[in-house]
Amino acid sequence: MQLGKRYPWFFWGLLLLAGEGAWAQSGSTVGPIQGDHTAEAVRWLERIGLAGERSHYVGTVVMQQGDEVRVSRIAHAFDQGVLKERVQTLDGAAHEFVRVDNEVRCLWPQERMVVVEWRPLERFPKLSEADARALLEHYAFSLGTMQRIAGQSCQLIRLTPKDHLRFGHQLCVTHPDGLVLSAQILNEQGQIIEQMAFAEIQVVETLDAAHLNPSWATDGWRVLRTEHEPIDVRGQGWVFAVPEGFKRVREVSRKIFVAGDVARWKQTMQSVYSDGLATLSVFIEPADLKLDDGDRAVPANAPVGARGATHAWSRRVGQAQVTVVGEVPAATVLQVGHSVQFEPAK
Amino acid sequence: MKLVIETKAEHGRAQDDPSCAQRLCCLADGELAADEAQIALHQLLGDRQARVWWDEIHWVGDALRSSETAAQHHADFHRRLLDRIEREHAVPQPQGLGKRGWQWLMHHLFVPGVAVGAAAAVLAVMVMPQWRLDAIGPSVDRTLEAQGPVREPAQAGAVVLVKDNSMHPYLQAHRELVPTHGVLPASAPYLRTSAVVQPKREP
Amino acid sequence: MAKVDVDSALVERVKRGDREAFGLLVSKYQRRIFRLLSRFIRDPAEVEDVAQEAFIKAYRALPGFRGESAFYTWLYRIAINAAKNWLSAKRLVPLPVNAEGDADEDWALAMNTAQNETPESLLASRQVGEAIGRAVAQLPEELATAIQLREIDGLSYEEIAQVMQCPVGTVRSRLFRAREAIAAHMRPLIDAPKDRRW
Repeated sequence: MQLGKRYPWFFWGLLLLAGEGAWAQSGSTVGPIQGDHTAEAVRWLERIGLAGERSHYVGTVVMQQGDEVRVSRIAHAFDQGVLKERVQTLDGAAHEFVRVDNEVRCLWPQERMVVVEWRPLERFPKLSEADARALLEHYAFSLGTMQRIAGQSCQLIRLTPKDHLRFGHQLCVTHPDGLVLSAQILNEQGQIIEQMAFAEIQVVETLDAAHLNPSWATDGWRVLRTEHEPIDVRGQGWVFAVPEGFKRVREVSRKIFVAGDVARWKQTMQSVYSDGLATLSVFIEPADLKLDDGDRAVPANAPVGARGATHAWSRRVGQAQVTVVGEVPAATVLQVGHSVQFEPAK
Repeated sequence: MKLVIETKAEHGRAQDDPSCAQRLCCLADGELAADEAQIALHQLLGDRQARVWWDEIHWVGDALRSSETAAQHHADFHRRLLDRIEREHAVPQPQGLGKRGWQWLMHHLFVPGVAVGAAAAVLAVMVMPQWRLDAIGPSVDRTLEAQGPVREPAQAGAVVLVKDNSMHPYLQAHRELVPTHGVLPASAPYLRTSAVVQPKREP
Repeated sequence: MAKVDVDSALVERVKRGDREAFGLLVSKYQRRIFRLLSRFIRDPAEVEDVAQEAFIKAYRALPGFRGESAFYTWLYRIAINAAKNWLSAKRLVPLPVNAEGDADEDWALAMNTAQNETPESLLASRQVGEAIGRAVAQLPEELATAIQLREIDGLSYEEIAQVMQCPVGTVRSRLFRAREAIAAHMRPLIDAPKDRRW
């Protein structure tokens, strides 16, 4: 494996574009860069999305949520159109996540268990111009000063929410490639509530499979694969409101595994939304009317749970239990949760 | 078996007694049975030159594996550390490692609790027109009436740090299905501690 | 007869109050711990401080260590926690959204711009790399093979004996001679004069 700090060849094209200010995309609104900041912002976002997908690197990441800090080792590659990643935790109980495109295997060596998480394969997975423009309708884009992260010079980028329903983001990306080396989430008071940053990173042209393969042989391990299939939540009679700009990504009927003294599977409906930065999931399932020993009852007026930028809230709606989870402010999950209603079609 | 200790460094190496020095190699490699290991340990602990050799064995091993690691040789570190242990009479006591999580809650990167009143105020402000009902199929999106009342008061306004596992199944499901082709790295959901769900035995 | 794991044996002695035994564990692992911490902490003096904290914590916690993992794994986690605590302590005042200049740089530093290659460390590791390369190049082939099978491939003596088609006693002797030769070659680089080492 060649180690080096040269940028992969396909970024040179973008470098030229950035330097000359030429319009690469047809169909975009026409205008000089200086006078149309949206176009520049769109190009930044597209570049960031592309770099995030197409780069090859290994590095060590520190993630901080509130007072919790976690250190992980990451390897990432884009191999003939297939996204591959391995995330190894360096503290706590040893475990790792190995991604191949839409499937992530979670390896738990002490339990000798693999949990396979997966999403339906997306036809157009890349961040598109339309996605970038949609994002910019709800976040203001601005460039900050140059920073140094993991020994590399980076451009600070701010995405400031235009409303109170979402958090602000600050990214530091390599220039001109746009690889995210650090990301911070800020609350309305401008405080950092969650952040991740590379402590070290090596961007390379190719990555050896040894960096991306599972760390353990899993012969004889138990393999659990999550189950979910598409469902129409509105067709079941449920409606709810989400903040402007959040688009529905998918809706599934699925099992979740509820741990506890008596562990069991629960069937639930999950609706996933995203505004390009933040994501939300709304879960609706029959409420536990009879609780087994050891199960934690979710009271009707539970407080909003928080961990870093993630907030979660659950409430009873008639016979159903509704849970809202997302990297949005507490008030937002509250509002979404409150808006859930059962309105069967006439 | 006694090791002769000389005051002059160049003559006092543990290697001068090859059998001892070789035995120490085996000890370091985990290749001694209990009886020989006891002898080797005894020599190692009782003899300064043996400890020097022990240090060199491991330095060589580190150097063969990684010159960066081997370069991290801070000569006085060991002595200063042991001095400190002596000074503090740090008699080993049973003491759990313990997470000092809450003690490190120092600079308010933790989301401040939202008081009930504040939550209500925020909700009042946020009542549309930013909200719209997400409708499926051919029907047009409905927007909520501008002055629509909030159906329930925000009594659940307190925000608490989630340290238990009740939300984990939802966090895992959320992490699994969110899009990865965005601005943030695809790995981000898997870096969040909140989303790490350690499996238990299946029911 | 069962082979003795030296870390476990040393840990047992530390539990019985033998501080020298702890010193042996320190000298075995200190470089790896320094290397680990230097990924997150730039200043070598601070790396040493945090390393000292980590080892002190380990010493105090040893009575509670029951060998549920390897000693080094346990020590490694203590070191990571020490690094995390250091990072937390280094966090600065919350950053207003529109701050520019110094504040931005401060948080970036706090978020560990671990440039683990300072000019000094680069030079030091290159020197070590060159010296070890020369030392190994000068070894007779059977010694070089034996030491690499042991230190890099992690084979047991039995396994090395099979690979090299020789008796275990010969493996023992070869490893000893290889280490002796390399140590002699590298001694100028291993800083302090021996009589000051302890």
